[in-house]
Amino acid sequence: MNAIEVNKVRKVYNQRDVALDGVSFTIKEGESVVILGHNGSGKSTLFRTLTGFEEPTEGSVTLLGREVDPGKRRHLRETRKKVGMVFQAFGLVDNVSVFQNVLFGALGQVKFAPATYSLFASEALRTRAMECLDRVGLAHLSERRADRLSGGQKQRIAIARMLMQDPEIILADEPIASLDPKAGREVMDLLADIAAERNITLLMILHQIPIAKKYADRFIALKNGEVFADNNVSVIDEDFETALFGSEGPKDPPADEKPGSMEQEAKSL
Amino acid sequence: MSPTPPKRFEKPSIWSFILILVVLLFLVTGINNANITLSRVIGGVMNIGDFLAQAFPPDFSRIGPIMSAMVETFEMALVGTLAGVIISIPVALLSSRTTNSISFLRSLTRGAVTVMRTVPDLVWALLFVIAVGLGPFAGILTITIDTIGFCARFFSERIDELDKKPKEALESTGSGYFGVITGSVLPQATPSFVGTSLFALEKSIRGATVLGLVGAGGIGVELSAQMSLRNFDQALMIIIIILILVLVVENISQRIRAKYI
Ligand SMILES: Nc1ncnc2c1ncn2[C@@H]1O[C@H](COP(=O)(O)OP(=O)(O)OP(=O)(O)O)[C@@H](O)[C@H]1O
Ligand SMILES: [Mg+2]
Repeated sequence: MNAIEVNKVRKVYNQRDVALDGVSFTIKEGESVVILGHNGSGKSTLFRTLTGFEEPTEGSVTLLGREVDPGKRRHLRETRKKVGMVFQAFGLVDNVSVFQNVLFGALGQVKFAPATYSLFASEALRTRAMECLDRVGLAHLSERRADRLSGGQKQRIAIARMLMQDPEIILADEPIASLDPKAGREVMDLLADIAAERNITLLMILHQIPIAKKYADRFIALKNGEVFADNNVSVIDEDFETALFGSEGPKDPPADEKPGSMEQEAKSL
Repeated sequence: MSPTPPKRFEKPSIWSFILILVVLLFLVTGINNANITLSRVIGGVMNIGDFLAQAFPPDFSRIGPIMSAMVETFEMALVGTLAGVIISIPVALLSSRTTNSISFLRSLTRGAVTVMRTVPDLVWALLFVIAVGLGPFAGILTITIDTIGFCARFFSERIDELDKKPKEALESTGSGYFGVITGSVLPQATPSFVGTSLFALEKSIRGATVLGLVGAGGIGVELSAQMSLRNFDQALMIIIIILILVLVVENISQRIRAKYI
C-alpha cells in the first residue's frame, strides 16, 4: 500500500500567492524520502497540506489510504494519530516537564485529555512515556522543565513525544536546521534508526545535500511550487544543484517588487 | 550635494489641529466651570487642616467592628476576584482568534467584556444593590464583573500572542480541542494569567473599599458614616487601616509575582 499519495495538489494563498502548483507523487510504505527546494518553494506548505493544516485549493492528499480533508475534523484526527511530526522549532510546551511533554504525545489516543496529565495518567501510559524517553536516550531528564534543554535535547524529546503516537509515517520539517552539526547528526541517526527498526515511512525536508544523500534513497525537489525532480539521491550532482538552487547566492529583491511574491522568489533564485 | 535631512517639524493635519482646538476649549471651560478662586483654594487647605486637627489622634476605640468590616472587604475582594478569574478563562478562550475560529462568537464575547470593563464599578454596584439588596453579595458580584472586564481582556490578548508551534504540535498528534487547550495553550499562558490575576486582586481590594459608599458592603459603609457624622478621628483610623490592607496585599502579590514569573 502507498503510505502517501499526493494528487495534483495546488495551493493558492490569499487568492493570488501560488505556493504549490500541480504537485503529484506517491510514497510507498517504509520508504525514506527527502524533500529539497529553495526557500519559499512550498515545502512546508506541502507538509501542512499533508496533515490537514491547510486545505488544498485543488487536488487531494491521501495518507495511509485515508483521504485528508480539513473539513472532516473527526476523520482528520483519526488520520493524524498515526502520523508523527517533527518541527524545526520543536514545538515543546516550555513550562512543563519533559515527562509531561512526552505524555502529551498520547493526547490523540485518550478519551479525556486529563488521562495524559502526569498526575492522572495510567501506570501503563507513564511506563510507555519512559520507554519513549529511553529510546531517545534522555530518560534521566524526565523531570527537567522543557525550556532548560539544549536544542539537540529538545528535538530528541520532541521525537520521544512523537513515538508515543506509535506512528506509521514521520514527517520532519527541517528537523536539524537549528542544531549544530553534531546534534544534527545524532537527531538524523535517531530518526533513521527508528524508521528502519519499525518500518516507518519517513518524509523529511532537508537543506543540506550531503545529509539528504546519506539518510534518504529518494528525493523530491520542489521549485517554485512545482515538482522539479523526483529521483534517486545518487543523481544529485553539482549541475543538478545549480539547476535547482541557481548558481549565485540570494540577491536582494528589486525594490519595486512586492516581497514574498512568487515572481520575486523566482527571479532571485 | 548631500541628501537633505527630514524637516524638524511636521505641519499637523487639519484633523489634529481641530482636535487640539477642541481639547483646549474643554480645558478652558472646565477650569472656568470649576469656579476656582484663590479664596476657595485657601479655604480648602484650611478645611483639610481642620479635618486633620480633629482627626488626630485617630480613635482606635472601635477597632473591633472596623476590623470585621475590613475582613469583610478583603473577603469580598478575594471571592469576587477568584470568581472573576475562573470565569475569565473560558471567556478569554472564546474571545481569542487562536482558540475560537467562529468570528461571530468572538465578537459577542468581546463585546460583553468591553461592556463589563467600560461601565465603572460604582455603577455596577448600584445595579447589583437594586438586584440583590444591600450588603457584601452586591459587592462580590460587582468585583466579579469588574475582574472579568479586566482579566478576560488581558488573558485573551496573551493567548493570541502565544507561540503557536506547541499548539500545532499537539494538534498533529490527533488531539481534540480540549486536549490542545489544556496541553499547550493554558500551560503556556499560566505565568501571565497568575500575574494578571494578582493585579486584579490588588485592583479589587482598592475597589472594594469604596463599594460601601453605595451600600455594596465592606468598609466603605463605615467610612462614609463616620465622615458624615464628622467623626474625623474614627474616619482617619479607617483610612489608616485601608492603607495598611492595600499595602500588605500589594506587597504579598508583588512577592508572588517576582517569584513565580
Ligand atoms: N500562511 C501563508 N499565507 C500566505 N502565504 C504563505 C503562507 N505560508 C506560506 N506562504 C507562501 O507560500 C510560499 C511557500 O512557502 P513555504 O513556507 O511552503 O516554503 P518553504 O519551501 O517551506 O520555504 P523555507 O525553505 O523557507 O522553509 C512562499 O511564497 C510563502 O510566502
Ligand atoms: Mg519551510
